[in-house]
This record gives sequence, C-alpha cells and structure tokens, in this order.
Amino acid sequence: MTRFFALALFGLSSLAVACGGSTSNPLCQGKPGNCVAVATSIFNADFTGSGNLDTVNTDTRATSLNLDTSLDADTTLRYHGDELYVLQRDTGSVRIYDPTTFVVKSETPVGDTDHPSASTYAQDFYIAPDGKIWVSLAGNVAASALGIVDLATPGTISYVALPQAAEDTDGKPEPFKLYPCNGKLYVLLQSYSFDMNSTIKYAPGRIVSVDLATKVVGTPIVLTGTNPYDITQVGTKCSDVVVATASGLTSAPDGTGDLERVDLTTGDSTVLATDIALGGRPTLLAKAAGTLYVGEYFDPQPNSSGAVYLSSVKIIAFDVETKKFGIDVTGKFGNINFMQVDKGDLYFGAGIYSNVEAAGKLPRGLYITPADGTPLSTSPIDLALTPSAIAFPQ
Amino acid sequence: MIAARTHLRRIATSHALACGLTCSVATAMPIGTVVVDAQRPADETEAQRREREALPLATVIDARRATAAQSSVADLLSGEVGVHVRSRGGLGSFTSVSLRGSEESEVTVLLDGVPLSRAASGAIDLSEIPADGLERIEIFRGAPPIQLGAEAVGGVINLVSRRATRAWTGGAQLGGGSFSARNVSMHAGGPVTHPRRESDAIVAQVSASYRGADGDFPYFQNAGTLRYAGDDSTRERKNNDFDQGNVDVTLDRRGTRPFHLGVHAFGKNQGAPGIATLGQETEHARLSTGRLLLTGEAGRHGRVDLDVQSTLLYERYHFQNPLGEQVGPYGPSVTESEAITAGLVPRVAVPVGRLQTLTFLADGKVEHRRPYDLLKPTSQLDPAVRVLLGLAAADEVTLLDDRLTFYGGLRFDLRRSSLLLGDTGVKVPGQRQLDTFFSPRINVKLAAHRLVVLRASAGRYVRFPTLLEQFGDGAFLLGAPALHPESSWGGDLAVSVRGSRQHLSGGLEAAFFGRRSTDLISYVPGGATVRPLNVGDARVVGVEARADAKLLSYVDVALSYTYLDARDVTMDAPSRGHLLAGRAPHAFDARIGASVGPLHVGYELDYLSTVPRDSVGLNELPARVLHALVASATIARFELGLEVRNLADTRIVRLPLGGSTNVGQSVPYPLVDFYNFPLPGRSFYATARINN
Repeated sequence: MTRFFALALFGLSSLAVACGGSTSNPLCQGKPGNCVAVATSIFNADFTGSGNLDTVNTDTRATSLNLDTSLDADTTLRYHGDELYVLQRDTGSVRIYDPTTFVVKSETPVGDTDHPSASTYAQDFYIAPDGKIWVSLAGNVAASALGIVDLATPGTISYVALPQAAEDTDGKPEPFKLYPCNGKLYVLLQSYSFDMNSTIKYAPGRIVSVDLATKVVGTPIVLTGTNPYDITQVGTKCSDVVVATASGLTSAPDGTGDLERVDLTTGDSTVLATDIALGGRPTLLAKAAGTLYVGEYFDPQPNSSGAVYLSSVKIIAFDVETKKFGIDVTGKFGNINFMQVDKGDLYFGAGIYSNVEAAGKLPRGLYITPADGTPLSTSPIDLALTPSAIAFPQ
Repeated sequence: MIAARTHLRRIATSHALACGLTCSVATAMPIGTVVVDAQRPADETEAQRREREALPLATVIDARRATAAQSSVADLLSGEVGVHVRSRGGLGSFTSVSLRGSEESEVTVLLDGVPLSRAASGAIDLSEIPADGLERIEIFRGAPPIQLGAEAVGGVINLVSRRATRAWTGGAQLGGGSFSARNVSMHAGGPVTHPRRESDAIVAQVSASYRGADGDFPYFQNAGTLRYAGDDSTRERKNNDFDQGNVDVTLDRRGTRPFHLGVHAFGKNQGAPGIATLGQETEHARLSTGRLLLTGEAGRHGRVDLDVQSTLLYERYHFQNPLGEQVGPYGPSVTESEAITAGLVPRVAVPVGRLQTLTFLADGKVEHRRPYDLLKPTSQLDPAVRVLLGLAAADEVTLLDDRLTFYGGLRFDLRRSSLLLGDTGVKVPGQRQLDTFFSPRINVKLAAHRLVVLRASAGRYVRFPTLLEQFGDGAFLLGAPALHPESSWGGDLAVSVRGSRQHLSGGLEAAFFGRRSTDLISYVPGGATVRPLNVGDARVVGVEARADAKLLSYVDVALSYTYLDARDVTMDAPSRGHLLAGRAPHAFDARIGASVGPLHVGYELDYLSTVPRDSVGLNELPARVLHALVASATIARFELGLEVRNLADTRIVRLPLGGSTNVGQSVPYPLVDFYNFPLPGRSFYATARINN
C-alpha cells in the first residue's frame, strides 16, 4: 500500500511538472529565484493589442503561459521586494502581482481626473525607497512630466514638471527611460514633435536629473544624438553611463544617432560611435563584464513615397574602453523588445512585427545565451507570442 | 438592370421558387423587413417586374419604412441573418458591416450598381447613407450577378434608389427621440410627361432628408483600468453630434427604350469623439464628408436587350484636429482629400433558343484621388490614379420546365494604378501597377418539390487595394504600393421550405457556407501610423438559418441565427488556428409582432455571443443581449410609430478576465461595439409619417 501511495504521489508530481501551464503557477511556487516573469504581446489590425503574463523557469526552460491575459500590449515589468510590478503603458496603471501565485493584488492608475490614465503615455517607472512610484509620462500636456504615484492614495498623483527643449515645438519633453543614481532620478528626454504629416521631428536628446528627496530639477545635459532610448552603467560609479540615441527609425543612419559616454556628475558627454559607424540606430543597451551589448536597428528598406524604414535589428558587442566593435552576436531579427543581463546570461525577447518582412529573420522567442561576448548559441524559448518585457526576481 | 434577371424571371414562376435561401418573405413579413412583393406597385412594368424578380438571390429590405431610429442603411441592416453591424458609437457614428464573417472592407457597397468610395477609403461608412432616398437594400452573400463586379470577397450590398411610378405618390416623415435625434424627410414622384403610349412616360422622383443627433448619451467608463474601480464613472458623451442631409433626384422612362438619370447629393458634418472607454475623448476634432453621384443609363429592349450605364462620383473628406487631440494623426492636423470616379458599362443580353440567355458586359472605371494638407499648403501631395477594366459573360439555362436553373458567369478584371508624381519626381519603390484577376461563378437552383428549393453557388472573388491603401493619406495611413489584391474562393449550399395553409404561412431556410481567402488585407498599427498589409489567409465556414411564420394575419414571428467559424490559417503565424478577431461565433435575432386593426406592437431581441478581440483568442468582448419594443398606429394615410431601443438600459456588461489566474473573474465593462466605442442605453424614438 505504501508503495502504491508513493508511486501515486510520484505520478501526480510528474504530471504537475509535465502539465506546467494548466495551474496557476507551477513553476515558480516556492522557488521564484529560478523564474523570470515575461510579458508577451500581440498587436491587432484594429489598432488594439493584448499582453500576457508568462513565467519561464530559467533552469529547465519550462514555461507557464497565459497566467494573466488582460495586460496591455505595452508593459514594463519589475520585481520589487516580494512583489511584481507591471506598468501598463497603454491604459496607464501600475499593477502589483503576488510573485508566487501571480494573482493581481492591486491596480493603481497613473493619471487622475484631469489627466486620464490612458492618455498619459506612461513609459517607465522607478519604485522609490519610500514606496512611491515615479513614472515618466510622455502624454497629455499637463502630465508630460514625472508623475509620483502614492499607492496608498490611488487616484491622486503629483507631478514634477520637466524642462522643454527650445527646438521641441509641442510643449512636451517626452520623458522616457528612468535611471536612479546617488539619490537622483535621471530622465531621458526624447523631445519630439509631429508635423502636420505626422512626420516626427527630434530636438537634441537630453538627460535631466530630479532629486528624489527635494524634487528639484537639475540643468539638462544636452546630448549629441537625438531620441535617447536607453541608458546603462558602464563604469564602477553609477554616474558613468553610456546612452544610446536612436534618432529616427524610419530613416537610414546619418550621424544623428550614436553611443555616448556621459558623466552624470559633470555633464560631460563623449561620442563613442555614431550610428553610421555602428551601421544602425542603437536602441538597447546591456552591460556584462567587459562587453557592452548594443541592440541596433538596421537594414533600411524602401517605404511608400520614397522613404525608408529600418527593417531588422541585431545585437552587437562593443568595447567601451577601446571603442572597438566586437562580434555580431545574434544575426538578424524583426524586432527586439528588451535586452538585459542577469547572472552572467544575456536575455532578450525577439519577434517579427507583422508589418516587417519576415524572410531571413531569426525566429520569435525568449533567448538566453551566455553574456561572455560569444555569439548566440541557444535556440529560443517559444512563448507563442512576441516577448515584450521581462523582470528578474531580486 | 439586365442582371441575372432572365433566368431568375423563369425560376420565379412559383412563389416557392421565388423565395431562395435568405429571401425575406412577404407572406410572413417580419417587423422592419418588408419584401418587395408586399409593396408591389400596381403599375409595375415588365422591366420592373423582371428586376424585382431577380431578387431571390438576395435578402431584400424595404427602405421606405425606415423609422426615426433607423436613420441609415446600417440601422436597416442590423438584425439580418449573417449581417454583423460594427458601429463606432451608434447615432451617426462610423458604421460598417461584416457579412458572413468578412472583413468590413471586403464588403462591396453599391448605389444603383455603382461601387461607392473605393477610391477614397477601405470600408464604406454606412451611417453616411441615409435610408430616406432608398427604395430597397439587396444583400448578396453568395455569388452575385456579374454586373455587380468581381469585388465580392465579403459579399455585396446594393442600394437601390427610390424610383417613381406612373401614379403620383408622395410622403413626409418627422421624427425625433433621445439624445436630440431628429429627422425630417419628404419624397414625391410621378409622371412628368404624358405620351400616348403610357409606357413611354417619363417619371421623376425627388427625395430630401435631414437627420441629426447630439449623441450626448451617458455611458459607463472605466478609464482603462480594469481592476481599479476608483476611476470608474458615468459620463456624458461629448463631441458626438452629427448633422447630415441628402437630396436624391431620379428621372426614369421604362418600356422598350428605357433610360434613367440619377443625382444623389450627400453632406455630413460630425464630431470625432474618440474612444471614450479609455478616457480618451476629444472636444474639437471633426469630420466633414460630401458626395455627389451622377448616374445615367439608357437602353433598347426587345429580343436583344442593350443597356449602357455611366457614372460620375465625386467625394470630398475634410478632417480637422486643431489641438492634436487623441484621434487620427498625431499632432494638430487639418487634412482634406477628394476623389473622382468615372465609369462606363455597356451590357447586352441575347436569348439563345427558348431556354438560354447570354449576357456580355464591359466595365471601365477611372479613379483619381488627391490628398491635401491644409495646415501645410506648400506641401504638394501627389495625386493617385487607378484604371479598372473588366470584361464579363454570363450564361443562363433553364431546364425541367423551369425547375432547374444554371447560371454561370466569368469576369476578367484588370487594375492599373499609379502615383502621378509631381515636381519632386520621387520614384515610389516597389509600386505594384498591374493586377489581373479571373472571377468565375456559378449558381444552381432546383425546385425539388412544390415547397422545397435547393440552391448552391460558388465563385472566386477579389478585393483590389484602394488608392488610399496603396499611396496613403499623407497622415495617419501609410501607403503600401506593393500591396497584393486579396482573393477568395467561396460557396454555399442552401435549402428553403416554404408553404401556407389557410391562416398559417411560413418558411424555413438554412444554408451552409464557406470561404477561403488569401492575402488578406488588414490595417496594422506601427508607431504613430497604420499600414495596410497582406497579413495572411483565412478560412470561414458557417451556417445561417431563418424561420418565419404568420398566423391569422395577427401574429408574425421571425427568427434568424448565424453560426460562424472564421479562423486564421496563415502559415507560421501565432494567430494560426485562432478565431478571427471581431467575429461573433453566434448571433441570434428574434422579432415577434402582433397586429390588431390599425395597431401593431412588436418585440425584438438581439443576441451576440462573445466576440474575440485579438487574433490569438486571449481576450473577448462579453456576450450581449439587447431588447427593443416597437409600436405603431395607422389611420388612413397617417402612421405614428414609437420605439424603445435597449429596453433594459444595458450600459454595463461583465468582462471576463483571461488567464489561468483569473478563472471565473470578471469586471464591469461598458457596453461597446467592436472598436470599444460606447453604445447608448435606453433610448426612445417617435416617428410620424404621412403617405399618399
């Protein structure tokens, strides 16, 4: 009888592992350190999109799909303490999930009565030590600023106004990525505006600091390139960063995008490589040991009316100190939505936009490959849809 | 007008034969749907009769009885079997139609046989077409007659303008209702010449109407935050008003040398209110539309029928978003475009022996579209031009004493389009200039029994990209010069049983249909713009069923049901195998009425099952049930009607949350259409009508 129960128990446990997607969260319960949370997305022809929350066991590569399918198509994920925070960038809210059951504990809007959440165009968020959430809001005029959300009082939000560039005509500085360092929050300002034909125009990219305690806004650091897209630490100090400026993704590299090394303390900026030298527009950065990984859009293809768009993206290695290019790490993808280094591995989520030629592109999925400067050596983990955001448990 | 009429005339010799698959049957006249038989003019000519009898292939809706709530073609189509109306807020908002699970842009809409607006847009806004100037609406789901074109991937809707008879008739209507809905219309028609031969009389018809609404209905909105109720509220819809007017004038002569002249003018000004359910509303964005259609047709009818139809269509669109509110192109914009379409269609029908008729036609059209940017007048946008040529032949054969009919047709269509480059002379790369397409089709109809008719049809159809889709609008929509035509093979198999005995009459009709489409054209968002693309392949199968009965002339019942399985079959796509977004698998419509003397009361039920919202089946709009009551009283020439729509005042539904951690959970969600635009709650409409 004992043997029977032991066999039954073994069978049931095996079944539970084999049927990983059928219960709420079989992969991460009790062992969240081996799990990453991944959002996947699909965009529809009717201008809407959907997002899903999945988990991936990084040891076994097993997946647990569709834990929550009510996400926005555009999200930013981040673990904080014992919780998973999801910034819903389309509807404009922050959801907090239980990291073991992945049940939603709360949802808090990042807008208010005067500034509807869905028109704030939330881009990135930072969870301050006091638990308040700082959100970069690129949307409606009054809220084109940093918003500070107090989870204890949902529905109310305070704003920190950000300086507008003289060349940016729409009155919105379009804050994007956030980077905390030495008690300040550094904000990449994309500073774009649309002309009457919906053609995008970029003012010079800028970085502005906001003191997390006093909310005092510093003097902007003006970059050489336009449309700053990503920022990452490269030196021993958090103030030693590299910034990727992407300029426009609907035109060929022309020197208006680049990699710049910036000292956030002094405001000094040095161009490491232009987009012409890179052979593409840089949008993603991740640092591992001596290698800076750069995700860049390239391969201009003709558009209607004689314009071009950059139809492919790849990851290359770059040495910040010698300013020399390393290997082409990945080959050609349709798009890469995120790229991060964790515990010696490079993670990136790749897909193929339905409006981009798929021929010759590598397949969609979550890629995990050693971050040692060597070429991509693993096959993707298929999550059914395009991975769009990732978070690593702390 | 030659249509497939000869063989249809033959097969329409019995009432059972006359009622095909989805024919709305006069003998059990459902509420709001009146078949032409019920309105047959006393002085109907032979040509009219043949044209009328050509209709059994289609569902026919009598447009002359539109009420205050049925302001447009879209309102009249709502509730028909196989028809899925997609509005963006109701009450004059953008509305399009899906037939048998098609994309809305796959449905060809014609006015008196002239395709509307293919130069200017992808889908036709049916809310722009008022019902007042129309006589009837014909819905072709299966193989349409060759003269209705090859672009029938998603079916064809032909709007037939109101025509005068040889007796003077006239009427007027005044209506109003909730949210300041208002309408006034008049029509008059009769002979303007009195020749010795009555059939040579020229008759004229004039119709004019105005419709409008403020559209300021209350709606529930959750600000997009599904799991936070603190920002949920009931708000009043803003910038949702519209005013539109139309004038239709037709001049006809029937007999052996018939001719027709038509002038159809339309104008509309409306707010562009935005998707309020996400808290995104506008206050200043507006859209104005104007259209002028001139049609002419002349013929010589005898043993051989010869007709020549000519058309000239002018359309103008004006969109303004001065503050750059969140609708349309990003940033402030004032854009305008105009499109001109000219066409000429000669047709000849030749009888061969006693049982066969051959029909030949040629079809030529030229489309010209020019966009403008009024905030940037120095920016010269190049016009686009398209030439469409078609040749078609059809053969009709009747056998077995007219009980068996074959109708076979073949069209060859050629399209050549180009961007007429201005001074800039920038070559458009990858421009696809020339496309050719063969479109065979066949209909078979068998009167298997006195009460039973079997029917089958099959055909191949195309949807050519529009000029707008190929070359963009200079703003929100990027052009795709290399866009391929979308094509499909489709067919259906149907049976109808119809009979009457003393005080009871009724019928049952059912059809199985299927379609396989390739190179589907769909709009895909990318950043601040959208781009039309050939996104993949689709397979649609389904069943339509309709039953109706009438008892003692007092009670009438009509039930219709559509089952739809429309799936993506694109190779290697994440969406492969999933239901196509926006297609409800189940739709049910019931209309029950009772009449006592001059009084009539009716109840209507409209059920729509859950609708997939995305292409991978992860989220769906909840099912909905809407109820309505209608009542009318007729005294002599006067009729007074009252309607209550959305009787239960449903404004909030429960949205199920998807995902394994949300099983059984749902949240309150606004009653919306497919595009997430809120719909009004309970609303009242009254109509007063006088007819001569």
